[in-house]
Amino acid sequence: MYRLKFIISLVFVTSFLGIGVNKEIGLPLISANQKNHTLSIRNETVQFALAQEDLFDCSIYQPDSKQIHPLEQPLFSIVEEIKLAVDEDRDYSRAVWSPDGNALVFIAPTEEYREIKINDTLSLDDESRLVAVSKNELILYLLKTDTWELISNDGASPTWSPDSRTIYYMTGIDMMKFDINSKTQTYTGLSAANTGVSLLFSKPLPNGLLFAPREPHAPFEVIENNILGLNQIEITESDYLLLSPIGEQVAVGYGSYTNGEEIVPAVMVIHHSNGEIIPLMKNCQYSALQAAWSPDGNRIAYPVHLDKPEIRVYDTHTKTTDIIIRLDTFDRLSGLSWAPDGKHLAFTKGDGRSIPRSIWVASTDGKFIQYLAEGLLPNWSPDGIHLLYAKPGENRLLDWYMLEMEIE
Amino acid sequence: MDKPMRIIIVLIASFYLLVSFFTSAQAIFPAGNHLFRYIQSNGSYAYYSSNKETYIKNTLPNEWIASWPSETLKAGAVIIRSGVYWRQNRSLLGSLWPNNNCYQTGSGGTISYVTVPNSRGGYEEWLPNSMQSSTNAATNNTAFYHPERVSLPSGRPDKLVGLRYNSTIQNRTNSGSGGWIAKIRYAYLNLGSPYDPNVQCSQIDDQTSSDPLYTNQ
Repeated sequence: MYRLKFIISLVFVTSFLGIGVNKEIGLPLISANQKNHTLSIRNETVQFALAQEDLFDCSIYQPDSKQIHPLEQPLFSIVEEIKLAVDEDRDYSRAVWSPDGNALVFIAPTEEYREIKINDTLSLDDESRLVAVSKNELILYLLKTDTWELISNDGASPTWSPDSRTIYYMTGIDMMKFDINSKTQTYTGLSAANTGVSLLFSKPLPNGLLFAPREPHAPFEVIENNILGLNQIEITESDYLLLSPIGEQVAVGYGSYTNGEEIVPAVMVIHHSNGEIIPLMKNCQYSALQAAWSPDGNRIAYPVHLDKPEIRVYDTHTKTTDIIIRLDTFDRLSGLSWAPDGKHLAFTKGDGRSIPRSIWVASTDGKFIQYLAEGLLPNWSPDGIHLLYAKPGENRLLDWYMLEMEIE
Repeated sequence: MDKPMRIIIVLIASFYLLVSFFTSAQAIFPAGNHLFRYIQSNGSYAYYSSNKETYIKNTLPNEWIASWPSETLKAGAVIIRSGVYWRQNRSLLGSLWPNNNCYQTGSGGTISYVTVPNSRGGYEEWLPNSMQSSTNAATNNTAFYHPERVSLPSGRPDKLVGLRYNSTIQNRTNSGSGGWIAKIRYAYLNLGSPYDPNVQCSQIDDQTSSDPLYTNQ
């Protein structure tokens, strides 16, 4: 009897002390039944992709030992390199070129943020949670006059109109527009549903429409002008989407998650506006998050994270994949940016941990390659002869530089 | 001795038994979730709170190679975990030494301990929902294992060792022989040139000591 009491006491004390030692309790975001019901379109798409027997799988792919390294040859000559005199108090993370190549909109995240309420999240992963999204300053940079102008102190996802006169952007869930000539900002009347997914992925389109969920936890659609095939894209905060430049296609990286003891792998799929769904690969979320559409929207390039890393280009018309680079040593390939003519691809090599990252440019026919500069995140101008890029900053994350080039 | 007194004695004995168990393990597990700032492709920051083991699972396949041998992946999981524990514990402790708050940014509700991913200028390649089977297994099979110093160095707030990355650490762990502990030792200690992988946050003595690792659970 005493032994039984001892055991009961031991169990009680163990349970009591166990709490707070190592245990971490995941936040219940949405129940399994709710999740399956809400995400039925997403689940169908993922299962359709996984049912493809020959789907490229990064987790088991073993490239052959043959290096694919184009011939090093000058493709561009560098005319000038300029360090942009950005405001020292801001941390610029990205920039978007105007279609005429005369201006850039820089995104500078601030310390202010929007909290994401737990009911406004839709995640497949109960052990990670999006808690906030930054408010950002949007700053206009005019190349010819080397002038800077604050557009908004609360903006995200800036998108230029084709005539370069209007910048559409999101302020929270509201779509705004900034007129370059009058320097005025106005609400467009379009808004996304107020959820974490909306704050992460809602995107103004160049024609002034909005690609976003209309209702909480509903699929993404082109609001006010629904395009067939693009209204069935159901994503969560665990996923990622990338619109093609002309808005006809969307590449979606559906994130992996655990379902009991098993993992449902990440898959990357292209949704076409005609309703076609093209599964591209699985277990390749690094590739999906690094993918870049060609300017004409017909090809998509992506790096593959391997011990012999590759850069691949998929053609949505011919449905074929070309490997344009395969290194013979382990390294990081990232930051892909297409030249406006679609004939060259700039990319970053390295992780910058003990050797600085470097920017290279390769011809997309796989024949030639050239080292351009030390840095990361190359971003090609629509004029084809300017390349914006970054270097690690001394007192902030990144400093920004501009290369002016001539075609050899 | 009456019954209530016996029960009290049993409870006290049980408590000391448990305390002595945890003490002898010498393990330090920072409390709470890992908070970090993710640089989205659109340039905004997204702040995430993640279970520490889940953070490792969504980093390992993007830093190491998922098709590498399981012992290499286990070494990778332990190396990533060492960084998570290091920066979180120091930020939580508010300690001034050494290299406290090296990874800390933000304040209030969005205080975070690392900016990711590396390909966008951040520290390491955490990507949301990128976990894979082989790397999850490696993380699970080394759950809570991390390196600590054998004894507490003077002035340190804890015995944690934060193993830093360099550009070759993945290949080094892969080329080392034996199990995951041997691979970590080979990568960090046995190549003749102790590495100072992160000048800003480096803990040089962890790389130069002859026996700095004490892996426990």
